[in-house]
Amino acid sequence: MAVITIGAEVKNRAAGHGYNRTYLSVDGPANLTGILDTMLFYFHSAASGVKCGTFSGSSTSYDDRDYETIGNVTNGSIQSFTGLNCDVTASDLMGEYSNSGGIEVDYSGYLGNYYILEDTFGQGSHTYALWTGDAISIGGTGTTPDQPHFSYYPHILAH
Amino acid sequence: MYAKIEPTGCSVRRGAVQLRIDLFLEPFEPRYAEHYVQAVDEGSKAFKNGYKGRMKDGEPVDPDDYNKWLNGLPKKWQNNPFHSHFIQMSPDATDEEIQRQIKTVLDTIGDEHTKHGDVIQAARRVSTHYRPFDVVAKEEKKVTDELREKGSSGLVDSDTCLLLTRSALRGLQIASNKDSFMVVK
Repeated sequence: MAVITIGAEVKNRAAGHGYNRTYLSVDGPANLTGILDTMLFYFHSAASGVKCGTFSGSSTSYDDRDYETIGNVTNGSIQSFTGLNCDVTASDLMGEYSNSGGIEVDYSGYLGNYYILEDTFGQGSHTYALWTGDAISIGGTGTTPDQPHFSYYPHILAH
Repeated sequence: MYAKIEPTGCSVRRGAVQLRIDLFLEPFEPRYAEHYVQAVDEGSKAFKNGYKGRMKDGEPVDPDDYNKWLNGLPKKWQNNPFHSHFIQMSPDATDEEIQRQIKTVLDTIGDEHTKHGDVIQAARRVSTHYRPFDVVAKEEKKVTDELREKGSSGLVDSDTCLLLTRSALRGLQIASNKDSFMVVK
């Protein structure tokens, strides 16, 4: 099975980032194309309105490809979410937004995060600024399309 | 262990009613201590007062000073979910069908977690992935925004509008009755 990975290591870091910002993790661009079915987070302070997804682009200009509405996410430990279905293409960056709370962040030693002071999910292409050295605790995994792993309720399909 | 619907994570996704199921352990169960954690108390006066140091675009100008403030904040104990899983259902799915699926999720993922197994692989075994439309979220949002604002959408046909509306209403109904869907193992 071909496993897709995206994002940075999800762990307890040095501090917590702000909210009402969309962050894109430069660490861990997607290694393959397929579907992300799992997303993980570690929030420093409890978050609300969390969205997470994939972004394509280059330099400082990115557009979201697909995303999932996660909702409220508690703090203090790794929170894992499965059963998702988010399109991802190789080299995509993982992005996250919350309207309260803060994701765990390290301020040095990593490739950095792109950020913008608004929610850009579903809003088209935007220009982001770069915090060099940062890493945030968001990550995801999934599989390539040659290994389907979903099942259907047959009677529900008949409509 | 028990499973609860988390309303803030419920939505319409690719035409389906998407429900978020949070899974919790009880104090007498194995591995409870791993998820009963100390976390920053956002209700505390110190947290609400906020960091008084200089910030630039959401980042502290002095990270060491900011860390000192963070580490000094009051903490509280809380029982965090050991895992969360999303299921996708038709708006025609009955309450019983939804409860059965929640039970399957809790039994399968819960058992795997207890024995320190691969929860992600276990989750894949119980994933429903019912999806009437193969559409990305931002395109679906355009349609659902029009439906919410105008009651109709010129972007899709009337059958699609009807399905999306029914899925949205069913999701709201389930979320408002979330306590009735709680499953205890």
